[in-house]
Amino acid sequence: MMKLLKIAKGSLLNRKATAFLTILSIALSVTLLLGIERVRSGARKSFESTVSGVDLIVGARSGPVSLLLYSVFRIGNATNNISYQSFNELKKNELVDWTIPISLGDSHRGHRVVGTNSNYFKYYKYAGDRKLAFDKGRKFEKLFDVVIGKDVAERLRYKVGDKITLSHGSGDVSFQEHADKPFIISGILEKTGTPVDKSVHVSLKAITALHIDWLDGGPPRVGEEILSTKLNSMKLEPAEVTAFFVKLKSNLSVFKIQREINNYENEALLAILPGVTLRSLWGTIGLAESALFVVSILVYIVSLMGLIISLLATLNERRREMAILRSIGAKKRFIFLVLITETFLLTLIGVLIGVIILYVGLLTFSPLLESKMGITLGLFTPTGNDYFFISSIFLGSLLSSLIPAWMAYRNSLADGLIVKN
Amino acid sequence: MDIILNVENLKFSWPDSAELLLDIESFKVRKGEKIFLHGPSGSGKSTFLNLIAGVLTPQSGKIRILNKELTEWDQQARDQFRGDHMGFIFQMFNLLPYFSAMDNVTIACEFSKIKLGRVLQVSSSLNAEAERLLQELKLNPNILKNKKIVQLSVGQQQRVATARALMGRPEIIIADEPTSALDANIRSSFLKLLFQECEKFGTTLIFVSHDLSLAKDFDQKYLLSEINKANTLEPMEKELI
Repeated sequence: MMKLLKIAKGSLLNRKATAFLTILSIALSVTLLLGIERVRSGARKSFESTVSGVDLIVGARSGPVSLLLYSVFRIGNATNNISYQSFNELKKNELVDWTIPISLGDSHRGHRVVGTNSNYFKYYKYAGDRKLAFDKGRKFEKLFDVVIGKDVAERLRYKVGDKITLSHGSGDVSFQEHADKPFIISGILEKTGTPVDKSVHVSLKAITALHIDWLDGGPPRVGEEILSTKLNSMKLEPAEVTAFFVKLKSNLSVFKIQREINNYENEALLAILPGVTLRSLWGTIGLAESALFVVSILVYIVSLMGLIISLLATLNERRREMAILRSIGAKKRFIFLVLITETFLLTLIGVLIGVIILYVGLLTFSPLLESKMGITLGLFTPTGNDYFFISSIFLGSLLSSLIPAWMAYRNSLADGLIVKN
Repeated sequence: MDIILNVENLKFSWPDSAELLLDIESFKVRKGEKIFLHGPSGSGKSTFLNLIAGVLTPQSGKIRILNKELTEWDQQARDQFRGDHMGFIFQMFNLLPYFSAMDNVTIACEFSKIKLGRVLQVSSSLNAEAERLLQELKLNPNILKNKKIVQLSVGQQQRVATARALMGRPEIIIADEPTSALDANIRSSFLKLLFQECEKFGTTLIFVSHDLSLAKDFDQKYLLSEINKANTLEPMEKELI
C-alpha cells in the first residue's frame, strides 16, 4: 500500500504541469457543481424565509404564482384590487386570528410603497420566527408617517425625520408625483434579507389620502387638490386593498377557509397557501436550475476526459516503468492499481482545492449577493447533496481511470519484461 | 554442482500464431555459473527471458528454478518468486525516473520480504545496504543523492540498476544486453564489477547479448538458435549469424 502511494505520488510529481492542470480542471468542476448547488439552495431558502407564519394569501382572482410574487416578493403588478368591504368581512370570520392588508401601486424612487396597517409590524414574520424590528424610530402613527426598509435607507441615505414624496405607479421614474403630500420618515426597519428591506411602508389611510382627490385614475385638476392639512380631519376609509395575509386560529381550517374565499359570492377572490404556491414557483424556476446543473455536469465530464487523456498520453512512455516494476516482483494487478491510485490522488487533491476555492468564493461573494439579491448563502457546510456530488465525482474518476489502467495492464502483459522500442 | 535452472521440452508459441517460436529440449544452468546467451534480435531471446522470469507460460514443457516447478504455479506465485529470487538488469532506462537513485535500489526489497530479510541480516538498514552496494559499484551515494536519475550518465544508471538487481542477494541475475548502451571503454569495467559481485555470493548470472566479443570470460556460451529447434529465422538471417 505504501509503495503504491509512493510510486503514484512520484509519478505525478514527475509530470507536475499535466498533473496541475488536471487537478485544476477537477477543482473547477467541483467548485461549479457545489457552488451552483449552494446558490440554488441559498435562493430557495431565501425565498422560503421571506414570509412565514401566514396560512393564506388572498388577492383578486388571477394566477396563484403572480399573487405570491406581487404580494410577498413585490415582483410584478396586481391586475386587480379587492374591495375593502370584502377584506373587512373576511377579517371578521371567527376562524381568523389576524390579517395584514397590503395595498400596492405607488413607489418611491424605484422602491415599492406598501400600504398596510400596524398588524404588519406586529405579526409579519420571516426566516422562520423572526419579527420585524426597528433599527431607528417607530412605526407610522400620523397620517403622513412612513417607515422604510434598511436597503432604502442605505441606498438613498435617509434618516428618521427626512421628508420624502411618493410617486404614482411602480416604475423607477414616474411622471406623476404625489408632490403635494410629502411624508416624514418615522422609522427605519432592521435588515431582514427579504423584500421588506426594499419597501416603503405607509398606512392604508395614507394611500387613500394620496388618491382622494384623484379622479378616474388621473391626477387632480388644477384647483381641485385637497391640501394635506385638511386631510387629517377627514374620514379616510380605504376603498380597496391589493391583497392580504391571513393567519387562522387553527391551521386545520385552512382548506375550509380557502374554499370559502375562492367561492366568495360578492367578488372574484383567490386564496393561496404560500408554501404550496412557492413549490409550484420552484417548478418553473427549476428549469433554469436544471440547465445550470446540466452545464456543471458537462464541465465535470470534460474534466474527467482531461484526466483520462492526461493519463493515456503518458502510458506509452511508461511501458518501461511498468516493466521495471514487474521485474522486481510487482504483480499484474499492481500495474492496474498504480494508475487507479494516481487518478484517485488527482481527484482527491482536485476536490480539496475545489472546496477551498468554493470557501474563498463564498467568503468573497456572499456579502455581495446578500446585499444585491437578498440571497443568503452562508458558509460552506456540506449537506447530504454535497456528499452525494463529491462521492459521485470520486466514483466517476475511478470508473474512468479503469480505461488507462486497463490499457497499462494490457501493455504490460504484451511487453513482459522486455520493452522494445 | 546443483542445477539451478532446468528447462525441459519447452515449447512456446504466441496464442494467435500456429508457428512455434521456441522449442528447447534441454537447457541447464548450474548454481554460480556465468552464462552467456547469444542471439540476434528476433531469435526469441526476449520470449525466452520472459518464460524464465515467469511472465509468460509455455504451452508445454517444464521450467525448474531452485527446485521449484514454476510452470505448475499460477501467475501471482511466479511474480512473487521472481521478486524474491531474481534480479534484472535491462539494456537501458532501467530506473524509475521519479525516484532517487537510492530509492531505485531499495525498491527491490519493497516487493519481497525474502530480499528484505536478507538485507537486514547483513546491514542495519535498506539505505545502508544500498549505499554499500553503490560504493562497491564505484558510485558515490552522496553525489547521487543530489541528482535526478535523468542527470546520471548511462554508465552510472546501469550501475544503479545493477545495485538494485543485487539488492537482497537473489540467486539469479538476468542481464539483458546491459552493456549495449555503454561506451566500449567502460563496457569491460562494468562487466568486471558485475562478475565480481556475482562471484562474491555465488550468484548465477544469465547474460544475454548479441556482442560475442564479451563472451570470453563466461563459464558457458550458448547460441539460442542452436538450442532452439524451432525454425524462427529466415534463411538469410541464419546465414548472417
